[in-house]
Amino acid sequence: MKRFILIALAALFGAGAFAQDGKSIYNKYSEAENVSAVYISPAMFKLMKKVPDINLEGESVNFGPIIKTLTGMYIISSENPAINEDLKKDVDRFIRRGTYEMLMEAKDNGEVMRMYTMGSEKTVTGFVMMSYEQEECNFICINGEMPREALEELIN
Amino acid sequence: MKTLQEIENTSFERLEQIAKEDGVRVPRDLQGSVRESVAAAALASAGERKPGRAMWLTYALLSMFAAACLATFFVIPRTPKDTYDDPLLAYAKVEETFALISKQMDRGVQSALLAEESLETVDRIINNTK
Repeated sequence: MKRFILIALAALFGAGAFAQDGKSIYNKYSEAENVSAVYISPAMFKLMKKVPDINLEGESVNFGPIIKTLTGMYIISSENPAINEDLKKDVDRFIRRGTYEMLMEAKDNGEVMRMYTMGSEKTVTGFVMMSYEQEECNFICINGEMPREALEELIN
Repeated sequence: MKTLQEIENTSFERLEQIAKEDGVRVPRDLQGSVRESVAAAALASAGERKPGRAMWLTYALLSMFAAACLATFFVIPRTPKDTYDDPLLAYAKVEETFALISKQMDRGVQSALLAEESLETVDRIINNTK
């Protein structure tokens, strides 16, 4: 019986290792106190393809064409210092386990902001942005089939 | 000579009394023999319980099945519920997010430009002092 429990636990932890992604991070932290969370599903992105382009007030750039290539988005904004450190560690683990490449890192007065992309030379299939300081931590994970050139042009 | 039925019907006290009268003695090594027999039986049953290869395979398969069931319920992330029901609101949120990413990128680029300017100043000073 002991052997059975040990093998089951080992297999369970093994499965847990594979489960570390944007969705599991979202599920883990979205219900916490002082955390605002946004999830946009692939189904909603399909509906959004029918929406005419909207220009936000004060924004000169048209994000419409790139938005129509997206398939999922997870946002976690935490103002809960008790979980910020754990959130940062989970995001770091998620990045290490995936095939993300760092696009940019900026550090300023204790605030760290990092951007990562995943995909090929021409297409970005995953984009992650994480900004961290003791009081605030933001995690953005975007999935899709974004043309790399268009994305870089847009966010530059 | 008593028959088996007569012996069975005789009380324990009476049997004990008959044994005393007849001078029947318990063999000296009877206790030791009983102990040896009990120990041998215990060893034999312990040997039988040792799991073989097939038993291990069964354990492993059962464990994997249990882990798969547990993972389905606890580890594999459940699909969250959409935050927005209205595609227009969702679209506006995505635009806002891209605007934020763009601003963060711009901050990073500005920091890099400032650092570059500082390096150029240092270079100029070094060149002037030469």
